[in-house]
Formats: sequence, C-alpha cells, structure tokens
Amino acid sequence: MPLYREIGLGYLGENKEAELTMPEPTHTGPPNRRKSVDKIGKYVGPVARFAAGMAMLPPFLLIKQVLLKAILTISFAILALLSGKRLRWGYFLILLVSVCCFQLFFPWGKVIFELGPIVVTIGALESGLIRGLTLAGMVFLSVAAVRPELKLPGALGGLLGRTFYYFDSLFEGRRRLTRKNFFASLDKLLKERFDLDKKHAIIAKREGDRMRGWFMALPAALISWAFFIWAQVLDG
Amino acid sequence: MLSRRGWILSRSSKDERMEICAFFGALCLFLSAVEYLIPKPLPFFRLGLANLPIILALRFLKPVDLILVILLKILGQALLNGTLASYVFLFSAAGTLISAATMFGVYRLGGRHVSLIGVSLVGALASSSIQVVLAIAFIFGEKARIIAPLSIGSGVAAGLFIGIFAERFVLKSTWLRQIECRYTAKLD
Repeated sequence: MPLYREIGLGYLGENKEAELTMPEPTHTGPPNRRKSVDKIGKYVGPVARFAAGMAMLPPFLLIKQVLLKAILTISFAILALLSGKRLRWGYFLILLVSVCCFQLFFPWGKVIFELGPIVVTIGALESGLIRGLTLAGMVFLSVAAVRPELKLPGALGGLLGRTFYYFDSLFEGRRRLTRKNFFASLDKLLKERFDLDKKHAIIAKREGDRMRGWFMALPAALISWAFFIWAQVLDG
Repeated sequence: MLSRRGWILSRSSKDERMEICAFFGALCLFLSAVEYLIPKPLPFFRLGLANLPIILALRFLKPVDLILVILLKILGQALLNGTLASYVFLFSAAGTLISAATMFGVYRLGGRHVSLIGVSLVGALASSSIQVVLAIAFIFGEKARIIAPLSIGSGVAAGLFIGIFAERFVLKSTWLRQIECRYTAKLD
C-alpha cells in the first residue's frame, strides 16, 4: 500500500510516522501502538465519500443555530476520526477561542457581562461560536471526505499520480537525511530517487466505487439536510 | 505517456519535462512532511519549506511548467491533508499562487541584482499579506488587523530562512545542476 494512503500530513491531521517506523511486533517486546485504520474506507469508495461530503456541506453552512451547528461539527469530527485521522484538538480550540475573541470586539445584543473594557454580548458570542464551529466543521468534513485515493480527472490527475509516486519514494528514504550533513544527504536522496534514465512503469489502478458505498454515503448526506430542515422549523 | 494500464515513462522531451514537474511537486509534499516534524514556536506559524522547490524551479522552469508544479503542490497538499473542501485550501492556494507570481516577477525583473534570499523574502511577504487579508475577510473580521504585524513578521522571518536555505542548496546541490542542465537541453 502506498505510504501516502497511510499517513495524514499537515497541521490538521496528525502524522502517523511513529506507527510507520515502529518495528514489527515481537513476542518479547513491548506491545505495538495500534495503527489508525480508515474505517469508512472499508465500505465507501473515495468518489462516493467525496460526493457525500460535498452534499453535507451546504446545509451545514446554512445552519445558524449554535447547538445544531455544534452537533454537526462533533459528528464531522467523529467521521474524521473514523477516517483514521488523529485530530489536533488544541489547534481547533485555539481557532474557536480566537475567532470568538475577535467577534467580541463588535458587541451587539444582550450584555452578559463586562470584562474590563470588553463587553461580552450574546449576539457577538453566538456569532463567534457559529463562525468558529463552521470553520472547524468544514475542516473535519473535508478531512473525512477527501482521500489521496480520490483521482482527479484528466492529464493533471495522472500527473498528480506521478507526484504521489515520487512522494512515496522520497518519504521512504526520509531516514537517510541527517542533521549534520543535511544538504549532502538531501542531495544524495534526490539523486537516488529521481533518475530520468531509469525506466519506471507504474500501474495506476483505479478502484471503482462499489454500489454499497453509495448506498451508505447517501443516508449520511441526508442527515445533514435533516438538521437543516430541523433548524428551519425551529426558526419558525 | 498515459497508457491504459498507467504511467509509462518514455524519453520524449515533453514527458521528461512532465517528470521533472511531478518530481518537484513531490519534493514540495516531502518538504511539507519534513516541516511537520519540526516543532513550531506559534500554533499558526509555518516555515514554508514546501515553497523551496518553487524557488529553485523558478530559476529554470518555463512559466507553464512552473504553474504545473504550483498546481501539483496545492492539489497534492490538499489531497494528502484532506483539506481540499475547507478554508485551509483557499488560504494555501491563495498564498502559494500570489507568492509564486511575485517571486517569478521579481526574479525575472531583478535578474542577477536580486538573490534568492530577496526573492524568497518578497514571496513570503506577499503570501503572509494575502493570508492576513483573507483572515480579516473570512475568519476574524476587521479587528484582526492587530495580528497583521506578528503574522507578516513571522512570515518574513521564515522567508529569510528559506531564502538562505535555497541559496546554499543551489551552491551545493549536484542533483539540481544535473536536472537544470537536462531540462535546459531538452528545451534547446
């Protein structure tokens, strides 16, 4: 399995390098950490998953009730966790708090309390929470819906496949980089991993989405719309 | 060449150029992964190691190939991180596109009078500025102007670091020299 399918990079999903570099479990050694598995991917293909995620997005963005928005955001976070990603909760907490703080500079609605020069109002607090939850929820949903296996169409999609192939190759050799001779070790790695004179033939298998996946993704997308209708009913 | 079974390398000029673009795109993703392992002093601070291949590539790639590398970087990061459908993608795409365009312009106009450090600094400034504008417009609101000096300052510091790194890499890398010669020969 290509490495890029197993790792979650970036500052939102945690890198699982630790698991990848762990030795094979032995009878005498300490127990290996459990590798996070993409539980959704077993049942739903990348295209059905992306389509369901995109279908869930509009109602989520349109909901203006804090409670419903929070429930959906938590649901999306659970989906992201089921995707095998370990989320950085601190990052999202800082995002939510900072967005709320900046919104408090524009007080409106009923005053809850005053903290020195800052007047905390219901309107500003709700607005901050909705904005912060929207941003966090979008990231959670995106992390759950978008997989590296998702093939983009056309020549660019094919080239992206090549890019991931080279990325895998470089990532496999990452331990050859040394802090002491960083430039020399990086140069050597690049020379090894990119030889234009070497013949490569990579079979890019396109796995089709099974019907079962579409049948599972559709109800999940409808839940988000059900929340939206509920929000409209609450609004009267 | 894309056969029915997948990608097969052929030795045509265009295919070789595409391979070079794909590898530079992969290098962006790889350095992004390396950066992830480096501890950050601030939660939102980014060193921008992934921009290094773009700085190196703008020295010799044709504009159309450079755009291809940039697209591969943006889309590759979005697919790997799963942020394709979120605001993070917008920030990443805007920052990369504006910084690459600015760096390309400065490099071409400045010629030998501007070093890669200068090019990188200008790119970092452009990227940080557009991201502050987007943060004001979409996330924090008007009052986020107060974080602009910190955000732009840290971005420029990172740009300086990447610029120094790029200068040293150009001096020391034999791989880069080989690729550059090969690419230029194919164009000729």
